[in-house]
Amino acid sequence: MTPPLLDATDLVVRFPRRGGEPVTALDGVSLEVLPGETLGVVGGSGSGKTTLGRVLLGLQRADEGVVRYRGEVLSPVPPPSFRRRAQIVFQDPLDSLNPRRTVESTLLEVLTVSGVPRDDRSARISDLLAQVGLHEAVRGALPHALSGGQRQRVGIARALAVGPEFLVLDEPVSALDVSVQAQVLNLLLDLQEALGLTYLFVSHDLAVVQRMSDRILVMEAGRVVERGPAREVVLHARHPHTRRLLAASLSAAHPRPREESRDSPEGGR
Amino acid sequence: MTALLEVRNLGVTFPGRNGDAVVVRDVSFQVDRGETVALVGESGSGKTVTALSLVGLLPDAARVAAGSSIRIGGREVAGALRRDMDGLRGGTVGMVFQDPLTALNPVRRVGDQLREVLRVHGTAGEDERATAIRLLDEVGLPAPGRAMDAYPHQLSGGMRQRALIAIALAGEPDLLVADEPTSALDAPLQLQILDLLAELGRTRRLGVLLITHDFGVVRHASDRVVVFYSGESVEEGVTGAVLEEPLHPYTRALLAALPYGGMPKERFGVLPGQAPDPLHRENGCAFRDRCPLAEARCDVHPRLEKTGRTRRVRCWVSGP
Repeated sequence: MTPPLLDATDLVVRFPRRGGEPVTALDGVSLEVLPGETLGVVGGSGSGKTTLGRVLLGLQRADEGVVRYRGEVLSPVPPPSFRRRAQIVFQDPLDSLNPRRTVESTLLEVLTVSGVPRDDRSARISDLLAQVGLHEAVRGALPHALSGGQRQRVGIARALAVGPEFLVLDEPVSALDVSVQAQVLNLLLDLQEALGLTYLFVSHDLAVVQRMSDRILVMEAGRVVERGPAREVVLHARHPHTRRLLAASLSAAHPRPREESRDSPEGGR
Repeated sequence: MTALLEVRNLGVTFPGRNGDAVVVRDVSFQVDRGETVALVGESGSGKTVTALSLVGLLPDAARVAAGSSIRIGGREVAGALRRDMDGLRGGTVGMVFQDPLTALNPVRRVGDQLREVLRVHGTAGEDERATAIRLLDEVGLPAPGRAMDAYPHQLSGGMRQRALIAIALAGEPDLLVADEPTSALDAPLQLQILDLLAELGRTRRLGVLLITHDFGVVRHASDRVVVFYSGESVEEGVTGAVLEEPLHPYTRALLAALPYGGMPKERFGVLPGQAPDPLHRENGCAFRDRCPLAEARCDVHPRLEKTGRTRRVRCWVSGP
């Protein structure tokens, strides 16, 4: 058995609530992420999927449970070296990129902090831009001047700048148009193959998760309700919540069940 | 019989310092009573501007092109303003927006907002409060009496969207325009709201115009679909037929880029390049530069041509 790259046992996170019982965002979640694989995490809003990604990266502290990276315990606070191994890509880079920093300056900051020698930084930025399919010309651009797809590529370049092994992708394409979404997902697949990256792919969209992942966790109300190989979970869902997500996954490939008495007129002219 | 909504050769331009941005051009389609028609396209495709021009909510800067026609219940409304369209009964349009939290007034109770619309349209009947409660009940709000007294933030996302639909119904419209009505909602709630719109279409014999970027929504909720690209309607037909046998190369490419089906880690179909800049329109087909089938004749702008009984497509190569 390959030892996991990252594993977590019995994670519990509670958020205090004004004048009430705390909300349990994670309720005893355990998982393993194997090197080079994509573990998909799917669930609706409030399922705890985003909290899970944040806890694994040490961005949010767990009230109970342990996270280990290469067998080393990360909690309560991960060591500084972990920052260079694990990174996150957010849904909308417009929220996560500094609006007053150019693309170059954003990447330069990350490279400087992670200790890349001054003389190497500019060449490294060229490499990063090429890696995510951006033209050199975007160096001087501010985030708002870029398209949604270009911004997400900058978000990915920023995550790659420290040379990580593990990426949490939190709804990375949910804000993008279909054709742009396909380009960014292909980029993520290509990067994984080229760099041997390990992904935690978090999304509400079962169709996307299914296509991107080796294995899937289905979450509901802070718990993992189903887990297994991606195809297996989609084709032979066992838990009623997974079936509900599948049924509600509005697939363009499957027509709605037509009501018998749809008395709509006969098409158009 | 004339259609409930008939759009002919609609064009909308935004004049600017750097020239005119042509964001909608040569768009034609129609919606009948009891029918749900989806306008589907990516950002910038012109679907939302088209919807706004139907309800008189275009920004002040927008110019409707000469020769554009929008007839609702036989009445010409191209270029009309919202205030001229309000207060009319019959042939009216209700509008449902994506995010009910921004569309509803946060500091006024749901019931008050609903009753105001009833008053503006003169549709309150004998008992204004009872009419309002009946509307909230019709859109499936549990305990409609209590919902009357709630502020928007006290309702869940799905309930807020239902309240917004009730307000859209208050003017007794013949046509309901819903702009991405479920994009802010989780999948199971999306289904409920789409099914509600379909039910209202049936029971009230409404025409429903659904604006969306999501082919799943198109598939689930529409009878016919109009595909938008770069400000133009490029393909139109019965939903199942268009999705199963797309004729326009853009529709085909877009459907191939969807994640549905496919094996894990299988690469997605990709459309090269990007849509033309609305500031710099060239002659010829708008999809020409990205199209795998492009030929010399594509340098001439194709019109939307009828193919088969219910299908229309704007393409020289794969068209009729």
